[in-house]
Amino acid sequence: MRNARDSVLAALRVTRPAFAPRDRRLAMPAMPDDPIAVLRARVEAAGGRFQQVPRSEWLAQVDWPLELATGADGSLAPTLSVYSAFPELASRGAGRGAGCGDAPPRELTQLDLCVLRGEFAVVENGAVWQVPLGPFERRAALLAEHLVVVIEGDALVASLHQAYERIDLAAISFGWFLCGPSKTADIEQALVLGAHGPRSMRLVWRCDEPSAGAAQTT
Amino acid sequence: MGHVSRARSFVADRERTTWHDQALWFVRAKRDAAADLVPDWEALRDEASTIKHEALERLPELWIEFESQATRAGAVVHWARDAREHNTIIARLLAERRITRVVKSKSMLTEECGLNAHLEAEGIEIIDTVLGERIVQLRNEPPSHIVMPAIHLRRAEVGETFARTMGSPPGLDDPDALTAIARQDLRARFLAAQAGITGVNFAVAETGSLVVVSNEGNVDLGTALPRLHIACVGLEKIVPAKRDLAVFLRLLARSATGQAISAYTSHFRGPRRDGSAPPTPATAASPAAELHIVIVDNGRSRLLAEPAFREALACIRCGACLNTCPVYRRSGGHSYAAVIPGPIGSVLEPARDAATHAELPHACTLCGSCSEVCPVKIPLHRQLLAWRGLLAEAGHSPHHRTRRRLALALAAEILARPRLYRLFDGPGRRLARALPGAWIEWLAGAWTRQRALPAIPARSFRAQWREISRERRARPASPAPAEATATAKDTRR
Repeated sequence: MRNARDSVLAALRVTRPAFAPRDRRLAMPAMPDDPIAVLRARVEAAGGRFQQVPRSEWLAQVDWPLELATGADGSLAPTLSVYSAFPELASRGAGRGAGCGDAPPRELTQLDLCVLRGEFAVVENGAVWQVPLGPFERRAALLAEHLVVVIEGDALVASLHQAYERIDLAAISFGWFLCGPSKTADIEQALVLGAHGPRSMRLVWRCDEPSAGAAQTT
Repeated sequence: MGHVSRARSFVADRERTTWHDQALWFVRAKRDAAADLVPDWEALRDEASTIKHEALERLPELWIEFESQATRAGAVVHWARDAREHNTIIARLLAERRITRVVKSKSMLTEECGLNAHLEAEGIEIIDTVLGERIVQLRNEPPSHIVMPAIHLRRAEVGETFARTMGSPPGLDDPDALTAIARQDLRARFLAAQAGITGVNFAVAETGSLVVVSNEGNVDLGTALPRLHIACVGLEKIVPAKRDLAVFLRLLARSATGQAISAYTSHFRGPRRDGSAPPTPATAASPAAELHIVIVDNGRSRLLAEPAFREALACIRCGACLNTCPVYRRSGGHSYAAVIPGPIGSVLEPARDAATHAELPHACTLCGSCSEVCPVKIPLHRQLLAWRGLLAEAGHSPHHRTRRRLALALAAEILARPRLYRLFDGPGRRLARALPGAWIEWLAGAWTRQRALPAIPARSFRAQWREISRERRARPASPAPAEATATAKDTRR
């Protein structure tokens, strides 16, 4: 008797229709005239928040989901548990920072905030592509109560078509599009934010100049 | 007990039926609004259909390519001819690792294979983690929708279920509070789980990657925490290349819920290492994570051989055809008594078991709405019609009841012979007028209940026509042109 693999493949070779290559005619969607307005609308439709901040003072300018700021310099309340991919944030009084790489998952359930570095955002749907630095970061992004993802000035693409041109799937063992907080509507279709993962999600766009950068698109 | 009688018990609760109908129509409207925001929506559907057609024609090559890529990335690939083999492989993987606590994210394939019952019989705790599926699991019910598993339930029923099974305060029916209770309970189970089982939305041949989408983050917790990830994938889920993902992901969430994209769209390639970072002392210290992929046939290669139905293998399980179906919205998912309800289920289920599901292609008005919303352009209503013919030939049709067959045979004989027809016309007409209204249901089935026959006139069309012709002949021979037009209008009226 043949093994399952061979018999499944043999069955498929018998039953499949003849191959007929077809034309692909789909055109690449263009970047909208006002990508920031579209991106903001999509992020908000997904229950998230969008913010454009100047790079030089982003820590102070970000509208943090918790009462993090204790002073004008944006330093953090030491009682909070924070995972941050940005050393400048972790070093500013955060209770926990990127240094806690070997903490067991259970400790992460006390995490108040996770701040990640995103690679780019997709204007058409409001998602941000993110590749976790390691298992710890991936868990932190799911177990923290609040999530902030930061992207840089030129990191916008019009649609998923352009997004996948930038992504090298063969080079990563894990990567994800994140769009808004974890959510469910499984009880009577009532939307509830914070199903299993974060209850809030902010997409922060860091620019050299607060109003520039909109034209820098790929 | 058939679809009709199961639907009857659902519609008996008028308030629930109305809510169910409107809630699903609301999702359909959200789908329309989301599609309207995509200027190339129809081109996208064409592209998706094209990609799926090509993939179905190249299944063996694509799966071999996938297997080689996934294996190179460190995953272990298993093949299962049927549900039994699928369940056996998973039970063995768990037993070899002495695993007894498993979390599962929604997968219609594992529902199809009856995995939960199989593992529970082996003493393994398997917890469904999508809120809706957890609710129906706690109630010992199957999901009633492929995307919204508990859409048949009202909030008070969820509250009762949680009070009974998780000790929440009786009478609680606030969705926020109920979700918080489930979140707390499931968070502990995620942390305790030794393995996570997931379905797969797309398997990418080019890279050996798996793509799984979720809104709640349950897929991600179930794969980020435990050491073992088992992904179950049906043969139809393969796409040739990375670039194809863009086409399907632009369609999937918009068609399913009206979202532009789900909250999480996760790409797995090989076991958990994460990113391109080299292993740290921390990750190296813990035992290596494992990814096992189970590729399942379970009737799919057989369906591929059916030209009339093979396109159903293009389905991406968005549920849009359920949300738009006038029969599904009013009869509820459980009335189908099938793993996959609604139009796509009524095409797929008879292929698995014709005798059991022969009635499902008839739970359809042939309105064609399902085909219009399908993101991969499966001609669902045509397939449902085709099934009716095939199932009738195989003797499975509900219209094979003796009285119906005799009545149709008699009608065919009479209608084919004008003399015979004239002979039966008068007595038949008198009989039909004299019989009580219920006779038509006795003869033609339950669908006649909401469809009264028009009153049968006392005189036949022929008799009426003769009379009109006589009257015409009796009129003045050549009326003026204006009058002629007026007469024609009158006659039409």
